[in-house]
Amino acid sequence: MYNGAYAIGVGVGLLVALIFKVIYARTTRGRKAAQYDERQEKARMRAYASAFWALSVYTLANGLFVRLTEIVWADAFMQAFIGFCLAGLVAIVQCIRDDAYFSLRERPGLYLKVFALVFVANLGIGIAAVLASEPIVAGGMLTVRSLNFVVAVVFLVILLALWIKRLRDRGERDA
Amino acid sequence: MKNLRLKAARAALDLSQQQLADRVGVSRQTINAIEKGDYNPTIRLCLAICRALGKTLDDLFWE
Repeated sequence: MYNGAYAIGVGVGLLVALIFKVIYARTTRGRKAAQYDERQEKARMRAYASAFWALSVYTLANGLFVRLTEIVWADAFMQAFIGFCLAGLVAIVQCIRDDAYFSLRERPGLYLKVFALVFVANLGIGIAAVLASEPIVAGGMLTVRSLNFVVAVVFLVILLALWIKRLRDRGERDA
Repeated sequence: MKNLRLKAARAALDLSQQQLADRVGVSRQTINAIEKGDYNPTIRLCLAICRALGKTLDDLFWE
């Protein structure tokens, strides 16, 4: 179904992620792991539970929808990937809302820049693919080509959540 | 229920929420949540806050 260039692209993507992981592990060796205070740890546990329930509800609802209507709205990988993204977003947004996303050592400003870069890169790649006549919908089904747009939406929601949180924090600081 | 005694003790030492948070080793939002009554801290954190402010548990947390 997919050509060799697609497989090479996936391979290169995984390789780049692996290289970043190795560089990160080497540069942070010897430093303490992310540290959260007791309130943050409890908030993160609640967020993980919410993600579990979000994924459960999505999986069951999607399975029921496809079975009852016989409308396959996305290929199997995209259905699973969107569920994964949804669960991740639920956990991340809840952590951001409860001030439990960044540890006591982390600098949100740096992450904001990285997230913005990931959003722009995925949006750009997605648009480039559409302009190159690679369909994101084929036969009424969302194809794997829409993956970049899904990732872009995920990071856009994260950026919006961080921005709203920052505005709210500014208002309450040392109130 | 708001913890006004904690807020008053912090203000008496002219400490910001961030400064108190740094002394105790928690986030500013955690101190804010305790003062607003949104978070009920463990006894360990209560003791750390008391030490940082030079107060007793009775002074800050006992009803």
